[in-house]
Parts: sequence; structure tokens; C-alpha cells
Amino acid sequence: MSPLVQGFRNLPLRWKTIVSMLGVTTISLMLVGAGQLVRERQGFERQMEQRLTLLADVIGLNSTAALAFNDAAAATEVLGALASDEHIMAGALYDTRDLLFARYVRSDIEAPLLDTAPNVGRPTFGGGMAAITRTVKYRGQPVGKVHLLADTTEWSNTLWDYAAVAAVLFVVVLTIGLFVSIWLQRLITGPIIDLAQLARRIGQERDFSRRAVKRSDDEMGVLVDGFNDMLDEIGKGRAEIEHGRDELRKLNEQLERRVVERTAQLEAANKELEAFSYSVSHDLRAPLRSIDGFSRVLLDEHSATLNADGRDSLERVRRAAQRMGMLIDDLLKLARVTRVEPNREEVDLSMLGREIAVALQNQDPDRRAQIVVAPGLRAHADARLLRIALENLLGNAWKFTGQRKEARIELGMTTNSAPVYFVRDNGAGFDMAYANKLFAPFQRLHSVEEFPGTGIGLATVQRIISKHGGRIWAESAVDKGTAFFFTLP
Amino acid sequence: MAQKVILLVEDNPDDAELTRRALKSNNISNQVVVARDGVEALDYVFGTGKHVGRDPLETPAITLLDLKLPKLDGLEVLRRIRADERTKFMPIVILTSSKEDQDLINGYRLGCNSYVRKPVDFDEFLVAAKQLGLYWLLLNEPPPM
Amino acid sequence: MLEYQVKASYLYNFARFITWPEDVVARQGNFNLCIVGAERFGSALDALAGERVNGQTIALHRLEQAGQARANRCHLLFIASGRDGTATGGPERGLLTIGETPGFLERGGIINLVEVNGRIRFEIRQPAARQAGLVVSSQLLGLAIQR
Repeated sequence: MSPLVQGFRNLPLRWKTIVSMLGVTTISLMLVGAGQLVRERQGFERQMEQRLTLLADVIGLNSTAALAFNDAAAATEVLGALASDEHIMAGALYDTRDLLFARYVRSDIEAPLLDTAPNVGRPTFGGGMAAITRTVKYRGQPVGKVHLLADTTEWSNTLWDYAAVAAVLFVVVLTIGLFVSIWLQRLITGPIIDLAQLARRIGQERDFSRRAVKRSDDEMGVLVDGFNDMLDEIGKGRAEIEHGRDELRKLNEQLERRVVERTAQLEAANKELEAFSYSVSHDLRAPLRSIDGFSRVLLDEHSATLNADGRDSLERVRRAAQRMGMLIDDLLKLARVTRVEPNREEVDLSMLGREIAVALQNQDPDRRAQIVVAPGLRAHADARLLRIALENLLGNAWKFTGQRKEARIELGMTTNSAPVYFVRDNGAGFDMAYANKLFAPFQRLHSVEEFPGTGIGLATVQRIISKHGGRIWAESAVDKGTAFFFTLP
Repeated sequence: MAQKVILLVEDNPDDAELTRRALKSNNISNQVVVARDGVEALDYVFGTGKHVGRDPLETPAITLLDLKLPKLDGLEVLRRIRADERTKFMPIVILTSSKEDQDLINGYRLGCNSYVRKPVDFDEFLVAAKQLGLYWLLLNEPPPM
Repeated sequence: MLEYQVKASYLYNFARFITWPEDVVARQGNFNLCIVGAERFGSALDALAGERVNGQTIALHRLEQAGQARANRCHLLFIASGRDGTATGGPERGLLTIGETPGFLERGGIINLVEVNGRIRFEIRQPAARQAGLVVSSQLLGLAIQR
């Protein structure tokens, strides 16, 4: 059943319509025909029943005395009257003991009559015969039974004739139905098929300017209107999309152009900065060397002609020149850090820390300071930049613990969700109120006399850490030491 | 044996003077020849131009070469000296203000023997000059001619 | 005995196929079936007693002679052969007389039982029945021997 249903489902609309109409016609014709046949048959049976009942009762009535007085001859005479009805094949009378009492059989046949009376009841039909058995009563009292057999073949033939006529009619009606349904199908499905073809063509050719033709004001007309409206909307939508795409392309081009411009500007700026650094590196230091150098020459070779005040002034000149030299060096370092992109690799922070510690100790062999570096500190970072950062942090710690008898400097790591590295000292510390100035260039929290420095180191460290996407912060209190924390994600 | 000269390629007269004094104060008595620009330095080395007739094989004991020079810069001077068979082994120390990466890299790539940065502090410079003289003029064995 | 069994059932069937006048039926409750010479029937009559006919219950009366019929208000009087000397001589209203003797009808009887070819049949004198006010069913008449 299922493949049949499936087959019907995939049938073109045209055939679906025709098949449906013919199907409905066939079913109704068959139902009507069958109903008619059943009605005919029932009608006949009722008629036959009436007829046989009547006949049986008449025979019975006429046989009551014969049955009562056991007069078989008289009974047979009564049964003989059945000969006048050609449809009656046989008749029989049974006495009160249900024994065959008298019989009649049409001359040309052999009727199957039983020696004992069949059950009393309504007529039975079968084998081209109808049979009935009824009780014969006289004044309410049974005196015997009458049994009749009737030939129904003639009637069956009539039924067959009827069926044949019905079949012929069936074919004729179906043929007419076929033509009618083909004609109707064109009327109904024609517009739908046209619409389907249009939809397919639009799908293939992407031509949304086509429109369906409206031919009627029924649901089909509504469908066509709806379809055309939809096409309008699609057309509009496509135009908008095209427009949007153009806009987007223009914006993109603008953006790209701007990126190219900005990149060029940036490159130019970088070049300029490089040239500037280069120039500063070479040219700005040269005069300082002259100032310092010749001051020294003066002090060495002409000290005799200088008094103490003069010598002191020359020393001041030299110190200023040297300090400027340091400032230039630190500025250059900061500029370099700003320019460079970090080149990340696995860095052994512990080893780096130990190397710097040794260098610090060597610079100042007289100082007693304990530098503790935790083992196994590792980071994914630019080794050179990280070295600059650690040099600054550890250098600061070294510097600010200068006045401690038992200086202690620690490089380590704590971990909560991500590693946080720290450099801690027990040095001079600072007031946290100024913590916001800590990482700005040239900002110093101590006087130069107290602790020397340019104020550029921490700015450089902060730049390095933020170049790695990390964060740096400090915790400190005056005379309680300082801890710098930083992350390197 | 006559003492070899020290060639100082330096455009800044102050720096030239300070270098000369530094050498002198460290008892380095070699004659110091100063070239004011790259062209002059090459003329001296190859015996051309104003130094026609000088034998290029008479190489200086040490050449102190500044990088930032008029006409031809120090790196170019270095390149040409190294490109010549006669002078390619002569010891050259870059003595300059800069400590920029690019200068260091280029200097070593072109075959300088040493790279020394001129410190602002003249005291440090004196130490540097002393060490330079000690090393290049006394300890170092020059290549055979 | 078989003969009188059949005759007993005949008596019963005659009572059924013959209609008595209204006034006679209404006269009393029972259907009085009277036999002269009942001994010949043996026990065959016993089955009839208590049967109902035409809405009345059969009451059996064994008589010595036909003259006792009136006193017993008989509806049906059977006179066995050789006992008909006691016959009344003419039809009496409401009384069906049945005999088994040749010439019984000529002597005023209404039905006479006759043996034909080993079968018991009967004759009916319709005028006598009409005189007695009895209506004989046409079927019964059809079965009677035609004279």
C-alpha cells in the first residue's frame, strides 16, 4: 500500500487530478452498482419469501383435513395444484410426526425431498433454489408441515443481466468521466502547472523580473498575486543586497587604503624615530664627551691655575655631562623597547636572574646583599627584553637597599590562576600615594642625591611587560621595602 | 723597528683631540694619523690622493674607525679595506658613540676586530684607551706581511 | 384395536372440522363426547378426555344406548355397529351422530365410517347435518366418499 501511496504522491499534478476524479467516479459507480444489486437481490428474496409463504400457507390450509384424516391421496391432490406455478420445483407435506405424508415433484426434474420434515422457518436460498418449510395449523393447532422448493435460476440470470448492463454502463460512464476529468484538469491544474514552470525557470535563470499571468479571481488568482508580490520583494531584496555589497566593498577599499596609508605613516614615523635615535646616539653624545673630556683635561693639566671653587665647578660640569649621557642612554633604551616587537621563546628566568645578580655583585663587590632567585622560573617571552626588564627591577632593588645593612632581594613567583612573578626587596620603599607616578618616564620618587637614576627604568619595564600583554604593579611602604609584581601571559 | 702609526678616522676634532690625549696619557707614543673623513682614510690606507706614494703594505698598527663620517661613512671604509688583499687583515677597531644594534651587527659582519663605544665619562674613556693600546700594540701579534 | 385408535382420532377430528351452532356451544362448558359401545375402543378413548376442541374441554360419556344422549347433553354421539337399534330416528339439533354400520345414514345418521381398501373412510349426509344446525367444513366434505 505504501509504495502505491508514494507513487501517487510523486505523480505530476495533472495525473493526480485525473486519477483522483476517475477514482472517485469508479468508487461511486461501484458502490451504486453494488447497492443496486444488493437491493435487487433483497427485493427478490422478499418477494420470493412472500410468494412462497403464501403458497405454502394455502397448500397447508387446503391440506389440513387431509392431514387430520390421514388422507394422502387428497393431500397429493392438493399438492398437485403446484403444477400451475412453473417456478415451483417440488412440494411436500409432513404429518405431525414429521414423516413424509404427500409429495409433488415437477415432472422434468429430480427434486431432493427429504423423508423427514426440514426445520420450520424463513426461506433459504442456494444452489439456484429457494426452500421454505412452514407448519400447517388448523384452528391454532399444528396438523403437519408443508415444504416447498422453488427454482431461482431465472432470477439469478436476471441479476446477471442486470450486472452486465451495469458493467457496460460503468465503462461508458468512466470513459465520459475520463474526458471530463481531462478537461477539468486543464481548467484547474493548468494555472498551477504554469506557475510551477515559471518558478522552475526563475530558479534556473535567476531572472526575478518575470511575472506570472493572473487568469482567474479564485484561490489560484490569490496564489499568482502572492507569487508576484514575493518576486517583487525578492527583486527589491536583491537590489538592496547588491547596493549593500557595493557599499561594503567601497568601505573595505577605503579601509584598506587607510590601513596602507597608516602603515606607511607608521613606517615613516618608525624610520624617523630610528633616524632620530641614531642621530641622538651619535651626535648628542659627542658634545657631552667634549664637555667632560676637556673638563678632565683642565683638571689634570691646569689644576695649578684653578682654585678649589674652580675645580668644584668643573667637577659639577663633568657630573652634569655624565648624567646627561646616562639620560640619553636610558631614553635610547626606552625608544628601542618601544620599537621592537617581542620575539617569544622559552626563557629561563631563574638563570637570567642569577646572571644579573652576579653582575650587580661584581659592580659593587663591597656591598653585603643577599639575592635569592627561586629555581625553575620559566616564561614564554622575548629573552632580550626580559633581560632589560629584570636588569631594571633587580638594579632598582639593589639601588634602594643600598642603605640596608642586611639587604635582601628576592626573585620569585606566586600562582593563583596564572603565574605572577615578583621582585621583592627590603629597601627604602615608597609612599603608595605616589604609586600612580611610578611607571611614567622621568618620574622619580627619590632625590638624585639620595638614589641616583634617570626615572626611565620603570617606564621601560612597564613597556616591556605590556608589550607581552602582561601587567605590572607595585606594593610598597616607606622603609618597609618594595615588591614589583608582573605577569607574562 | 720603527713604531707603526695609529690611524684615527674621526671627523670631530674634539673627539680626535681627546683620543690623542687619552692615548698619550697612557704612554702610547705611536704616531697618531688623523683622517677627517672616509675618503681621506682610504687615501691614507691605499696611498692615493693626498697620500700618493705611501705604501699600502705599511699598514697601521691599529685603526680606530668612527662610523659617522662625512663623504664615506665608517662601514663603507671598513668594507673597502676588507675587500682589498693588501689590507684585509689589518686590525680595525670601531670607536663610536653609537651602541645601536644595527651598527654593531653591520660592523662585525664587515669584519671589524673590535667594537668600542666612546663613553661620555672621560675617565672611562681613559681606561678604554689604555686597554686598547695594551692589547693591540703590545699583546696582539699582527698578521705576517 | 388399531382400527379403533384411528376411529377415536377421527371422532376428535370431526369435532374440530365441524362447527356447532352458537346457542348449543354456549349452553354448557364441556364438549360432551358420547359413545355407545365404548368397550371396543379399549384405552384409545382415554387420550381424548381432557383435550380441547373449539375452546371447550372434551368430556367423555360412555352410554348404554342412544336414548341417553339427550339426558347427557351430548354434542357428538358415536354408535358402534350392532348397537344402532337404539337410534333416535331423525337429526336432532346440535347433535352430531356418527355410526359404523351400513345404512346408518339412511336411518337418520349424519356421518358413517366405512372401510375401503383397508383404509377407514367416511360418508356424510349433508342435508341431515344442515337439519341438525351443524356446518361441515368443505375440506371435510372433500374427503368424504361421494355417493
